[in-house]
Parts: sequence; C-alpha cells; structure tokens
Amino acid sequence: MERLVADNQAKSRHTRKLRRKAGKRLWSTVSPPQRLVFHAGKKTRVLFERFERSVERSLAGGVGVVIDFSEISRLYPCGLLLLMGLISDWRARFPGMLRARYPKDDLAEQMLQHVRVLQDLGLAARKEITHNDVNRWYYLTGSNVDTGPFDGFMERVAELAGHEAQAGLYECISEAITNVKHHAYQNTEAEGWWAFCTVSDRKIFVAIRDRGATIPSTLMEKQTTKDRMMLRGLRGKRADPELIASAVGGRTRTSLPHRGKGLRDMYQFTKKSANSELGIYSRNGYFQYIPGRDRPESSGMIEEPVKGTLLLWLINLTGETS
Amino acid sequence: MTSCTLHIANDFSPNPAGRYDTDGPFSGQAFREQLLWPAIQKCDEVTVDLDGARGFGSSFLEEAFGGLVREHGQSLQTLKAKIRVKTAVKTYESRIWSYVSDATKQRRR
Repeated sequence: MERLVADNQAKSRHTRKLRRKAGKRLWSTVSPPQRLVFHAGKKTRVLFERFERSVERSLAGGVGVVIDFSEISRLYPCGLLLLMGLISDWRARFPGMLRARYPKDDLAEQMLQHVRVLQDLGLAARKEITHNDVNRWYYLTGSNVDTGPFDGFMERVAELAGHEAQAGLYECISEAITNVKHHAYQNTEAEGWWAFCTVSDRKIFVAIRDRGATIPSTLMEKQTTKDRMMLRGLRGKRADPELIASAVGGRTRTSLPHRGKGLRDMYQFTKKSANSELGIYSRNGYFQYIPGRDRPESSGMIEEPVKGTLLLWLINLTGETS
Repeated sequence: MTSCTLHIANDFSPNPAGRYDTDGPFSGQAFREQLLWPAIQKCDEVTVDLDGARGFGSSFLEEAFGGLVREHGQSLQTLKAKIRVKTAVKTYESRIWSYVSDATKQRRR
C-alpha cells in the first residue's frame, strides 16, 4: 500500500514536471464550504479557513486554482464578503491563476453573479437575476465617506422601520465608513469598503468590510497600548480580542479627545435596539454582542487572520429574540 | 439684528457624512467652512435646521460644531448665543452642545 502511494506521488510529480517543462500551468480544484458562512461559530470558521489555506498554498506554489462552486448550497453575507475580499486579493497577487466552476444551485449562481464573483473569475453571466433572495440584497461599495450608495437602502429602511431607526442606522453606517477612511487606510494607497444590506419588516442586516489595516494593528501603533498589553501578558495575536473590545469601549489609535466615537456609537445603538446583535472581526480577534446569552458580550481568537475588518449588524425590529 | 437659516439637507446635502474634507464630499469640515462659519460671521443669529437629512454621525457633528471652538476660537457661550438648532430629533441638539462643551474644555487644558 505504502509503495502504491509512493508510486502515485512519483507519477504525479513527474506529470507536474512534464507540464511545467511544456510551459503549461498546473491547476488544482478547491471547493469552498457548502455553506459559505463565517460568523456562525467555530466549526464554520474552521471550514472557511481550511478553504482559504488550501487556495493560498496552491497559488503560492505556482499552481493555479479552480474554485469549484458546484456543491455550494447556501451563501451568507459574512462568508460572501470575506470570499470576495480574498478573491480580489488573490487576483491582484496571482494574476491569471484563478478560475471557477459554476454552482449547480440556481440561487447560488444568481447571487455569485449579482456580486460579480463569477465574472471576476472568468465565467460568463448567464442568469437573469430574478430571485427575491438575491434582489433583496443591496450590494454597495465605495472608496470614501460618501453615503450616496446607501440611498435606496435607507429609503427602504425608512419605509419599513420608520425614520428614527433609519437615522440611527445612517449614523452607524456613516461612522463605520469614516472609521475605514481614518484608520484602515491611513498608511496605504489602497482603499475601499464593501457592504451587503437588507431590510424586511422584521429585521435589518448590514455587513461592511474593508481590507485595510486592522483594528488591533492600528491600536498597537501606540506605545501606551503596547505597554498595557505587555503588562497583561498579551503579546502578538493573543492581544487582538482585548484590543477590539477596547476599541468598542472608545479607545482609538489617535487618542484625540474628539475622536474614537465610531465603534462605541455602533455598539450603543445595537444595545439600545432590543435583541439586536453586533459582530466585529479584525485580524485574529473578534468581539460579539449577542443578547440572550449568559454573557452577551464576548471576545475571542480566530485562527486565520481576517485581512481588514468585518462588521456585522443585525437590528431586530420586532423585539423578539433572533 | 440679522438672522440666517441653514437647512443642511437643502443647502448642503441630505447625506452628510465624515469628518474632514479628505473623507468625502459632505464632511463636517466642509459644512463648517463653506456654510456655518461664514453664516456665523455674517449674521447675529444662525438657525441650523437638521430635519430632512438622512442622519448625522458623531464625526460630522463633532467636526462641524466642535471645530468652531478648535479652528475658529469660538466659545460655548458665544455659540449658544448665536446658534439655534432646529431638529425633530432632540438628541442631536444635546449632542451638538456636548461636543462644543467638550471642545471648549479641551482648549482650556
């Protein structure tokens, strides 16, 4: 048996060598998790991270990757936003080395086409977007603090949830993208934010992500923060959950007294709206506020670092536990 | 006595957002420099009408009003005597004055 495996490995190495000699690229096929979700718990994060590592390893080794969406059955905004960020990053670092296979599921294909993932990976847009589960999602992106792209979504929120909820949400969203501009892209030319939003008469959901400097890395630029973490025995990525939690409490990189209100405002708004939830993922840490649990506020570590920051809000309009 | 009214949604933007000019087109700094400070210089009383805009993030409000203290040397008393805030959302008014008050305290330090 061992000999058979060794023979196969040798054959495989030989084939790769011949293909390389012939100037042909080698391709490996990697499937994302069937349920493309990140926020649901440790298990889903591990599956997502395994997929990410597998693609990264192939690309870094000079092997092209076919992302096989054929078995994908459910897409969630957090997973989709992260996937889109990864694809954008991989395409920039490894041009021409990514391809894809269409999903078998019609709804999944419509969604991946709606957000241009399939087209970015060289596949034709062959579906008409008809499904309500796709159309109800607003996919927005921008590079500065201009809330114009949110107009349609805000009007819908005002219609379904009233002006007060809409104004509160607007404050949080404008602060979130102000934070991106001030903190995430402070020392880089790259910029941009991506958002998924939806609203019904029962809930509002908003996910925003950037791919800039993370909350922990910007906070650690300050020597006093570094010293504070050292004193508590928190070094490197082990400090990330604590740093994110402290940003929610109002600590910022700039330490200017009139700054640092963004995340705190979002958190307060979430707490004020009954049974609403907030999740913040940045580098190797996360902070969550989920009412109804023994400890509504929790923070912890994630294995594979999130590049940038991912914010997830669920505003419950019914007051019921979600 | 001269009085002016600034209706943010009509005169500036229904989508005010961001702190500095570099953030985006409708920032707190832009509102302060283009409309609010010129109106304060010109008029004895300035009514700032917030209704009709989508909302106001703290960065926008702090820079627009707190910035009057930091950048234009105004005090809480002077501004309270000059500015009238018109809004259906009462928390906006109290937040504006707390930002001005914080900026005044900070300047004294």
